[in-house]
Amino acid sequence: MEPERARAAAVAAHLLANPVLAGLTPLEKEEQALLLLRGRAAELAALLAGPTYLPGLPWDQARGLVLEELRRETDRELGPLLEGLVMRDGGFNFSQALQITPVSAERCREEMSALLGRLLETERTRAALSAPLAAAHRDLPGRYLEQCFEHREYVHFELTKVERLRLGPGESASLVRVALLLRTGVFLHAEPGRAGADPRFASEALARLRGELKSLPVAVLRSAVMSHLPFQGNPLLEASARLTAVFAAAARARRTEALRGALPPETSWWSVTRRNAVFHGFDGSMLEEMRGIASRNGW
Amino acid sequence: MTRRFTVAAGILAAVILLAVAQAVLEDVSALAGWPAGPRQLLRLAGFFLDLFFTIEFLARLGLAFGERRAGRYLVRERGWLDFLTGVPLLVLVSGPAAAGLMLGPTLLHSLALDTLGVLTAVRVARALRLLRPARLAAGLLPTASGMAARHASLLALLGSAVLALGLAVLAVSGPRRPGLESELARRQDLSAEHLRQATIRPARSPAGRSPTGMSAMSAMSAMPEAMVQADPSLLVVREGGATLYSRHPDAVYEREFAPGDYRYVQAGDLELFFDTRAAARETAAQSLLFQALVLLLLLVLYLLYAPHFARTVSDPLEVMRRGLAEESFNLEVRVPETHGGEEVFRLAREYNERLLPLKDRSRQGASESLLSPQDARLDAPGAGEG
Repeated sequence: MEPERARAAAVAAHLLANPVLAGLTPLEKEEQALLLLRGRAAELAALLAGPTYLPGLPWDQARGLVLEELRRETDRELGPLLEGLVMRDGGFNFSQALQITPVSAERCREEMSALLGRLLETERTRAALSAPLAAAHRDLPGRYLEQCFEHREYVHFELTKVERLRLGPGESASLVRVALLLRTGVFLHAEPGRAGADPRFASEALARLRGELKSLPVAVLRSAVMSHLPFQGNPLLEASARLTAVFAAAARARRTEALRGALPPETSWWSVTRRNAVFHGFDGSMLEEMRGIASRNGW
Repeated sequence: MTRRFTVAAGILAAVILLAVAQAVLEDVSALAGWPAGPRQLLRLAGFFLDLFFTIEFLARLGLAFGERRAGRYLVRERGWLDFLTGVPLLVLVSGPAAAGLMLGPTLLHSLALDTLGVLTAVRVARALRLLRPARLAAGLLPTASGMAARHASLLALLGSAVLALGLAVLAVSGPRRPGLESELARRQDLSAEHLRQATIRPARSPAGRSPTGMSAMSAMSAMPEAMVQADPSLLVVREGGATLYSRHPDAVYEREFAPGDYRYVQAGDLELFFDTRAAARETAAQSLLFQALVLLLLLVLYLLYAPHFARTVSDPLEVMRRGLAEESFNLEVRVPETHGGEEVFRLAREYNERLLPLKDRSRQGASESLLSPQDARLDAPGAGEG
């Protein structure tokens, strides 16, 4: 099996190294490779049956080998990335504004790393983590919230006056980034098909996460979990949760080269999503403000 | 587009640019009064360029004949433009000029190429040079960028054709309408007539002498200096092979005068040569002005109009086409405030506000890979990249 494994590893590495995937996170790259394996299975089966690939191996086994190698290669690249993300916001300097009890940053980091490790164990949670991880990695909160605080419009008002967070733009961005990384945690104990779209499920998920992530500020966990709830029907949803939801979705904005006559990718994404805000359960005013920021910056 | 075709198109573009430069330099040389040597070299260069365009046209026509699409080439693929910018110029302008340079100016006379009709055709043919830059724009510039390039090239061709027609009318009407050319010709004819009268008067004497007893030679030598001064274009007066008067030494004629720089007039027994370079300078100035107008027109069309057309018509259409054709394409059309009410942008608004959100809703959860099965081939391009 070793020669086959080596060839499967070569195919996996080759796919992940494709230039069209440049700029994506390892999980996004893996996602693209999985989409290919699922969507074009017949063509890939014919290719992998070729003499220089995995001849004589049934498609299921060949596919399984390639998947294993894809995952191994992805995990190899993911390790340092996740560690870097956890470390970036691992000081939890926003926690003082959220609760009186001081938090142990080191303990929080350990719990976050453990949670992320568990999320990477199943295909379902890996897929769910892909977009929020990309949003945190590309620092969408950092880029946008800085300007939200500068212009002091809807988002700033919602964060500081309604949610009453006494945080600066950097700390707010840090809070949202941590919420993004924790957001997928609700899927650890959820049955397939339940995405946490109702408050009861969210409450249960929050209680479970609080039990597992004892050191983390509750407000962060709450933002992470409540980000799965639609804004429509939940008007009291925290602004940080709404932001977490829209940034997690915004990471799906197609990263394309500028096209003459078209708006930039992020501006287009915010604009289209704003028109479907109710459908997606997002806060339309928030999306409109983000669209304005992206448009002003040519993003 | 194959590499061979790209190279051929590049060579053709370079030759067209050379031809434009040659035409400009030829006019500049006439205007600035360059010596005969460099001007003859420029004419010779013009001959070879015209020969190239003629051969290129014949080759294209031959290929089109072979593929049974000669009509299509001549009409729809602008073969007529290839013809007009090559064959007439070679046959009527640069070919005879080159023959004159190589075989002597008397050849033109013996072939009756200096008759009024031919000279008029030559003047019209020279105006056809103005169409060459339009050909460069039409055939070789960005054909891939579609509608904007096609519209700009059509306007370039129409504008150049109008300017070429204007230059042709100016050139043809030159000897007939008030202007330097007709005035010079009138003065020269007058000078010739005066000289003829001066030499006839002695001939009428029964003894073959004038009343004062002067021969033609002595009549000439007695011609008032004022008459020569009055017509500075008078270069040489000859009678029976003998030069009666010459404004310059022979070396000056050899150095400064090329075929076509002088006008030959026979007045009785006298042969007169007049300097025509002043009229040629006026013609060159007109031609230069029209060439500058053509180039300016092309610059305006390609630097201002084509990008504007692309921004307001073809680019929005291309964005909408991709939005319709590609499942995951979701970029909105940029709608400028100043043109928002135009048809294209009204359509773009519908695309932005209806189609894209509809696509977004219908694609919820669906996704397609950026990769293709070919990307799994280890020998595919990009192996080891990233």
